[in-house]
Amino acid sequence: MQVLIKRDQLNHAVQHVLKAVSTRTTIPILTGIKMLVTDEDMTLTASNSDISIECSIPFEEDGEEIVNVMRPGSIVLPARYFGEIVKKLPEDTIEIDVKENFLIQIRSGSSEFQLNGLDPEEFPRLPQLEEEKVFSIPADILKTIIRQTVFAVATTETRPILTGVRWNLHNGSLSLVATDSHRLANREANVETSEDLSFENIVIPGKSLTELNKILEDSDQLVDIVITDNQILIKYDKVLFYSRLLDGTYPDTSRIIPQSFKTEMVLNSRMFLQAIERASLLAGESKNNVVKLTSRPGEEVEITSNTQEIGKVTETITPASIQGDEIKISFNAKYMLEALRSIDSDEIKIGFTGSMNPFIIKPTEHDWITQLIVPVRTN
Amino acid sequence: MGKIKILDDRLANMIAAGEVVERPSSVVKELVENAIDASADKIEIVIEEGGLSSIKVSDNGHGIERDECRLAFERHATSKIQKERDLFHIQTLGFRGEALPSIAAVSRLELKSKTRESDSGTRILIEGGKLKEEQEIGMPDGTEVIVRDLFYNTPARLKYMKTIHTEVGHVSDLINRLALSHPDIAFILKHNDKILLKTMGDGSLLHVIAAIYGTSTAKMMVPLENDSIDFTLKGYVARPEITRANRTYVTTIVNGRYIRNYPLIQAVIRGYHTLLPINRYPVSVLHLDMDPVLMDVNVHPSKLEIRFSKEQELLELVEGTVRRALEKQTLIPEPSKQSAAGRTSIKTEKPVQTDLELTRKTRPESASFNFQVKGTKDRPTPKEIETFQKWVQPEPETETTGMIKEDSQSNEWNADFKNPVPDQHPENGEEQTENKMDQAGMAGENSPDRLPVLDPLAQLHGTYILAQHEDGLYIIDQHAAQERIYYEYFLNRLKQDTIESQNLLVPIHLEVTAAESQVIQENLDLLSQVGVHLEPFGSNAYVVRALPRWIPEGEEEAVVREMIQMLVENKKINVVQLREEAAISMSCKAAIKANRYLTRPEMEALLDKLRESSNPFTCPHGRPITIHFSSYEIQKMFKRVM
Repeated sequence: MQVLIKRDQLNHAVQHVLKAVSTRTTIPILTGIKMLVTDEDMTLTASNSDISIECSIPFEEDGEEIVNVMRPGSIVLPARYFGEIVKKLPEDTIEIDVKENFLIQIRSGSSEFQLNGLDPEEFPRLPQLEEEKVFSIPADILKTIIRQTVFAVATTETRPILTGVRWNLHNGSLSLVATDSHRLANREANVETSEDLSFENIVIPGKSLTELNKILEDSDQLVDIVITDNQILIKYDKVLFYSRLLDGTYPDTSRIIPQSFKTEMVLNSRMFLQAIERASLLAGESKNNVVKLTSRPGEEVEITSNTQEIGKVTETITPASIQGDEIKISFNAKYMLEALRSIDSDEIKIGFTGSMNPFIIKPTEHDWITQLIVPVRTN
Repeated sequence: MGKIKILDDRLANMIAAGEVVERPSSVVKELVENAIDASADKIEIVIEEGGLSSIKVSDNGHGIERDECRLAFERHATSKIQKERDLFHIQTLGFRGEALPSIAAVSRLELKSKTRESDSGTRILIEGGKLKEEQEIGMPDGTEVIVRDLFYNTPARLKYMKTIHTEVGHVSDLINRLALSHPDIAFILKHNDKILLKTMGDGSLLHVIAAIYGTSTAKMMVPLENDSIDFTLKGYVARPEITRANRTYVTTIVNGRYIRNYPLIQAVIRGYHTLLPINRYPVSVLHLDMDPVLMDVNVHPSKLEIRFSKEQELLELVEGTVRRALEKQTLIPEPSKQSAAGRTSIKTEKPVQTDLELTRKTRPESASFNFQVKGTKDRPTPKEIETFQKWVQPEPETETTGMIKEDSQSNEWNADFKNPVPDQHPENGEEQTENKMDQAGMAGENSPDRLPVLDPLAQLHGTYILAQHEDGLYIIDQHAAQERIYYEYFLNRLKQDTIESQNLLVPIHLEVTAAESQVIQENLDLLSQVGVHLEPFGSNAYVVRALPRWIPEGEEEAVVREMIQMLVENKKINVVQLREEAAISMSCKAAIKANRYLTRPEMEALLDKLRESSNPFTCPHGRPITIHFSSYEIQKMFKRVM
């Protein structure tokens, strides 16, 4: 294999696929990036236990030649070193020449590297997917709905199914749910799809979606999503992003979200967020970052936090409106902060159904997002 | 008027008693040792109220002649050594001739003794060192000493006695040690009519261990035996899952005498290297026999301290023997202790059906990680070999090994016929220690294959791999497993590194003691060979000009000091040992963490590499990697078998 390639385009593609390279793995070949050059195109592939990313580099873009193939072929490059080398090479053009025994020669201007590559035949092949269930969504919306849910997934593997975000699709409405059993994030969105397409219980690992969001850009370019029984494929620009799906049945969350409330208040989201941020300052190092919220009808809402060895903080905030019973509730400030940050709205509505029951946070403008938090029991 | 006088004997004995008779257990020790020296094979110790009100030691030894009974209470009277030469060939436990007069000086002592030759025995009574009574009595062969009201005439000493409980503890510790030293003597220890210890005296050390530490511990003991020109070593070490919080369970017995020798205990612990968790110590009983010329017991009246002439050889023998004994074991902890068959005593001969060995062949590995799986054999584990002696003596000429060749695309079966590989445990101790490191990285055909070929089923909590084999379920800690693999890899790589020194712009200033300074001066060359360049900097101070590259950042001074310490103690620098610590921390960082999903091929790759590591049982920090539930145990838990 021998090619001449523009550095910027190569670097762009390498940075994309690097997201699927695992630094720690039990199979050494997975620390590499596979480069495949045919007469028609050039692709880079990387794979780990959760995701695989394939990124193609066009031979020509806007009339400019990007890749010049002297000899097609393939090789697995050690990702850690290759990524850094490409970034720092001096000239705009890079020559990659693969010799015998998978020896790679990288030349650019005055610098020349020799790297030991690995056998491309050993590299796992990407899954071949039946493209039956396909729908499209603009990249910026996909990025947003992932951001608004993925933070709520469980980070420990004690209940593996909860480390993913559950996707359901019915009548062109996509619904995402994530929960770690202490809080829950729910987001709905309309997608372009054929009328009869629907699926349920598609659970995508949170880690995969976090990586996907690093690749997606804020553009209205359509992203095609292919769903099969155990894989999801996201086609975006020149990138093919594969992720495994989690096995198992996601718990039924539909009945968890309360529909009627005993206390409802509307708050300025920025002020409320800042008040919670200040209140959580005194939480110290303890993980149980508990904040207490107290309100009486027609009065100000009081937020307090008390850590015995550090001190006490009291905040008051005037709600835009408040109705229903008085409420006294404690919750983990971290969950509240993450929920508030995910809602891009000036005003939020919080609905309580008693101090021991979960409460929800929604934007006042629309119903697409629901954030639910389970209170902390205090004595 | 002369102020200086020679003390009378009685006072002298009371002073000596202060040193020899510290507490009731010292009395018991002296009396029981006398009994042992009198070749008794049955010794009964009965104490009341922690030994303060009464201590009775009776034996069936050869007794004391009537006319010698009184002589025994003279200072420096002993039957155990006769002339100066004997002092350097001590075969008996006592020899100083101080015990009896010292005890007699601080108590009411009654001695009854009869020799086999005489028809009647003698009874004498001594109070505070003064002979009160002497008479002829009838009694069985042997000697019985009763010590009453210990310290009755030294109230200061009596005041400092701890609770009865503590004193009983001391006595029972002492008898435990003596029983371990003399499995051929039947000991009975009673306190206030309660039996605290009873050994059979049938000569089996394992039975004594069972009597002291319990049968479950005794079942986990691994026997060991080895000798060199000067030393003979025998005993038992516990499998690493039995650990204790302190070193007192490492019992070392030299020529039948319990001794405490710190380097010796350290050698035992080194034998367990990487098998024990931090701050845990093994249970072990080691009997060492050597020519009395090679040791000096006459260091302290308690005779616990001992000095060896060929200490280095002895320590290497102990360390190597312990390590090899443990390496031969399948060290996978099993959840239920009862099922661990008595490895040491049961050796039933049973026919064994030889199997068609189905081994999974992994894909060829990359060049950078040279852990090739070639010719990996699934042999019966050593446990099976040990429990069931091979019935068919000459092994069949060929064994059928079906190997599964796994490809990312297709599975194909490939039958492979191979000759059986005999169990290869390198026998030479010294070489093996070094070989171990060499094998570590490229463990191949001759690595002891003690973990069977496992078939991963699933992952638990993203942390443990559940794997099955015909003989049951294995649970493997994925982080610990990879830590072990990397540890051996890094250790090997570090060892091959050339010594590259990094010159320091700002040298490290090192202040040392005068003794250290002397050692450094003598070994400057040696230090620079390992990459540490030192220059004298005034008296008792040095500056470090250059350091080897492998020293982790921030630990430069500590490592150099450790090297100097090694020089002072052993006159050499063991770089491998120092680098090992670096390897442990590197391997921990490189290994996959808990809470991480693994695909099936990843689990298979991990298990295959683990099997090839030289020690697939514990991680470098000594935590276990694998836990095994045998099919039988699982059946038992479900009450399918009763």
